[in-house]
Order: sequence, then C-alpha cells, then structure tokens
Amino acid sequence: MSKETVKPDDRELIERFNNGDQEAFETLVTRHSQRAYQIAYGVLRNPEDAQEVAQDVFVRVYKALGSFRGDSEFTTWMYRIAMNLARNKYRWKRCRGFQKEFSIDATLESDDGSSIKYELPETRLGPDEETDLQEFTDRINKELYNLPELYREALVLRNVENLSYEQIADILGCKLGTIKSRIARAREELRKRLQL
Amino acid sequence: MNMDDSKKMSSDCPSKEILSSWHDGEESKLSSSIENHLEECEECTGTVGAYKKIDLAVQDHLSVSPENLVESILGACKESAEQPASKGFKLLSGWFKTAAVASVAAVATMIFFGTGQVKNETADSSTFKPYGVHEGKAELASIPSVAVPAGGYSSSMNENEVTLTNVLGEQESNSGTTAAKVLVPVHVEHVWIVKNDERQSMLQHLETIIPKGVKFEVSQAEQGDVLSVSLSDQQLQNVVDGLNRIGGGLVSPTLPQPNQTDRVQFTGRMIDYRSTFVSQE
Repeated sequence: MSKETVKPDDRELIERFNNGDQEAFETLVTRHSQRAYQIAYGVLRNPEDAQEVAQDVFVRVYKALGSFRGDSEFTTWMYRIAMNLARNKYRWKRCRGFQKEFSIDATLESDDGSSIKYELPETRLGPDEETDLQEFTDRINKELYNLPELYREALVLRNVENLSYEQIADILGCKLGTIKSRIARAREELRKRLQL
Repeated sequence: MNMDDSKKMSSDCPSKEILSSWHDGEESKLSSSIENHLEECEECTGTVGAYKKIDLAVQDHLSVSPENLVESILGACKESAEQPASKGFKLLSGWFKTAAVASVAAVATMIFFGTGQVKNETADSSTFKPYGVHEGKAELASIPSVAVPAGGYSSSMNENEVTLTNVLGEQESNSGTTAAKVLVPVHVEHVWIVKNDERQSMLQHLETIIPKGVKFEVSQAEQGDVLSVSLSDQQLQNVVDGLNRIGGGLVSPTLPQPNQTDRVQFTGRMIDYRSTFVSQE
C-alpha cells in the first residue's frame, strides 16, 4: 500500500512522531483539534476557556505520546483527556463562582477590564434561516447549560462527531446503557424546557 | 400521559429512551417496528422531530471554533517543548530538591504531612532523603500470581484488562453489549500531569486518598516523582478517582480510568501501582 496515496491513520502518525517527525504531530492537531475544542466548549460554554483546554489537551498529548501504547484509539484517549480537563475546569470555576452565563455573541471582559470581542465563524445559512436557527440555538444554548452535567456531557459527545454510544461509554467510562439513558434524558429535558 | 389525548399514545409506544437511541441509529433490531409505529403515532413522530431539532441546534451551537486554533495549539506545544525545565514542565523532584536546601524541616512536614505514622528518623536532617516513605501499621497483602489463560489474552485486550472468562473460568457479561471487565493483579502505570501550583496539594492529598494503613512511597525518577503503592483493584479505582477529583490530568490510557466504577468488576485482588506526577506551570 502506497503511503503517498493513502492518508496516514492516527497510529501511523503517532509512530512517525515518536520517530522524530514533528509534522506528524501537526497533522494530528489539524485533524483533531476542532473536536477537542468543541468538547470543551460544550462543557464550558466559554470560548476562551475552551481554547485553553484544547491547547492543554494537545500539550499533554505531545508530552505523553511517547508512552501512548495504543490500548485504545487515539481519538478515544484524546477525547477522554479533553473531557476530563474541561470537566475539571468547569467544576473548578463553578466552585469558585466563575461559571456564569453569557451569550456566544456577548462581549467578554478581560482580566484588566477591557473588552474582548470573540470572533465566531460565519454561519452557513441564509439570513432568514439563520435568524430562526439562531433564535432556537440561543434557547438551546441557555437550556443546555441548565442540564445536569452528566446529561450534557453525553449529549455533547453525541453531537460533536456523531460518536456511537459505545465510543461515548468508553470516553466517559460508563456502561452503554447508562449513556443511552443519559442522552435520552438530556433530550427529554430539553424538549420539555423548550416546549417542543 | 394525558388520558384525553386522542392521538395514539399507548403501551405500544416505545419508550423515550428507545426513541432516542433509534434516532441515533442504535436500535437496528427494532428499527423496522419503530418505523412502522411512527407512521401511525403522531406523538412519537413529534418526539423524534423534536430530537432532530434539538440535535441540529446543539450541533450548530458547537460548530464554533477559533480560526487560529491549530496555530495556537502548535504554539503552545512548541513553547512547552522549548521551555527549560524551570519554566515549562517541571519535574516535582526539582521542587523537592529546592525545598530540601531551603528548609529540611519544612520539607519533611510537607512530605510526611506531620502524621503519627511517619517514622521519626525521616524528619531528621541527617537522614533526610529527597523522597518519603510513608509506613502504616497494616501488613501489605501479598500480590498473588495469576496464570495467563491457556489461550492467552484476547487480542482486543491488553494484559491489564481481561474478561471474567479468562480470570475466573466462567463467562459473565453485563446486560449491555460491553463485556464485563476486571482488573487483574499486574503492574499498572499512570502518568498524571498537575499544574505547578496544585502539585503540593496533590501530594498532600495522597494521604487522604490512599486508604489508612497502606504503605506508599514517593520517590524520585527522571520523569518526575513517582508514587508506588500496592492496592486492591477497588482501592486503586478509588485512588484514581480521588486524584482526578483534585485536579490531576491522567494522560495514560491504561486502566483504571477515572469514574469507571460502574464498568469495572472488582475482585479484591492486589495491583502494583506506579504513578508518575509531572507538573506544568
């Protein structure tokens, strides 16, 4: 099989990185960083915190990849780190009262009091559709973070990459039946709260 | 359920859990019967429609990501790799060495937590070593040997994880599709990364996390400071959960992982656990 014509899989990239190929690590980051960010964002709701977690995830991956033995898929391992770091940060901030609600369109305030405008990518819909979806997304945005943490984590993982229940169970360290129940309860809660 | 509801909503209706997992493509065996049911039941059709709408909105909500994400991550990785040990990743051993020079007594207090279980001589500067041995009164249980099953371990599992068939000679499984797992008494290694300002509390918490009476040792190694302890599989799971709760980031894929108590079947067997702590500023 020619390597020139086939995209290297994660295991091959890890092997290359462990043999000194830094570009292999860049490929891993390019391939998976958005998912790490989305998981963190789904848990934390704060773009800055999510970016910090995504950076932290890959710094840790970078340091630990040499000892990665491939007992699980790279993505499962990386998602698990992302979820653990995001969860830790969420709980740390919640304990200290820092976890507060804000809109994704809101102007954030930096430590020195100056404002930060966080740039979001353009949406892909037309103006009318965008308005409708945005309105509903804003409601989801609010209610998603009112869900119990365990329900939200499962629903976020399901929607980040259409992960199977088995993969989600592996990442969260739960039984498959537990994941099935958490996702269903998350949806039911949202359905009730949004009166759908 | 509203009894006046004229729509079909009866015991024939699948549960919300089934509808939700069918919506996710996880109910292949029931798929055709659910599809048939949805053709007749407005209530369930509406429920599934709501799930679709919710998923679309959640996906839209999660679709944001900064444009410079990859660059910022690579920058952070590069920075951490280029930083000398004093700025980036610091081995805990450095902290111990500095503390030893500054104040032997203070370090001894920090390492040994000032409990009655500490050997007196370890707090003496003349015998001070840059690592601590914490001794309890209880005798360590011996680590039993485990015979490798005749057929070897399943190819899909590593030596830290085998089915009950392999260990106990009888097949057991959970109600779901995930096979029951059990920790076996082998050597398990973990690497935890902790923030620099949290390392002290991480070490101090070891005493509260590790069961009383169990001897553990913190020693220096090239990669970081190493916790060595022998625990039953149940105790080890609790220790891992405890370290996770106080902010450690587990980067090792080997079992056990945090919050897996409902997935692991405990046998009470002993595991030789070695955990390396690396700190990050």
